Amino acid sequence: MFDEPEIITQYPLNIGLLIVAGGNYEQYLHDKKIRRALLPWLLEQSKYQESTSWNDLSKLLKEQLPNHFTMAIIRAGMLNYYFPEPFHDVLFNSFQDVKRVLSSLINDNIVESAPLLPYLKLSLLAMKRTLDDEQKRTILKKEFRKHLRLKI
Amino acid sequence: MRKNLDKLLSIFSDTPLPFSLPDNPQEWANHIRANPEQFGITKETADSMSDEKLIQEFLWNPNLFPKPKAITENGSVEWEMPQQS
Repeated sequence: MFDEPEIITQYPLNIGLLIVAGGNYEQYLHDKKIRRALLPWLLEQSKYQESTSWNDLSKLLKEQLPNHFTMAIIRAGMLNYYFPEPFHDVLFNSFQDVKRVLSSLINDNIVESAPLLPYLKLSLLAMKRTLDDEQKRTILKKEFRKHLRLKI
Repeated sequence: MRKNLDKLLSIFSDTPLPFSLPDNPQEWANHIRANPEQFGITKETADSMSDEKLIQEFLWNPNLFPKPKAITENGSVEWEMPQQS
């Protein structure tokens, strides 16, 4: 998945890795065991968080793990609109899951997630900004068709 | 795409943004440009950037986002929240 250095080096390393991770994660890894083993490594490599707290987090929050990875996907999606995978995951592939997870974060009043809700909204609004820009939207559609062979 | 995104955004209708940002993302650049220091961007940097670059600079600043700090005995996460100026 890291065979495209010309793409990754155009942007900060952490963002590039997060996007690659987000785009390939659900698509290629279906085995929970592999998923749990690989995610800490990906997060660590992304240098999203310099410490090992993401690693600890993913080990301990077994069932809630997808929630936090969803956050990473959304954040990746808002940062670079030239990579279609995070958008596609959030708005198509995993849309129902994302919707369910976000709804549960609010409706179930999960205390630990409450501080993050404004940031999740910010991420979604950033995605909206991308979609509202015709030029960016055109690029995104082109990438969708090119890489995902999807009709929008 | 837009329809699904609107559905997700509707979940957050009662959630305020973490910064003093307008709800309309199209107005973000002007808002950030008016007081860039609030978002960790110097005025000189802001003045030299296009709107799009300025927003990227804002969104890419990891110090403006919460970071997982610790995990409590019951498995809850303690977040280190960014300091608001």
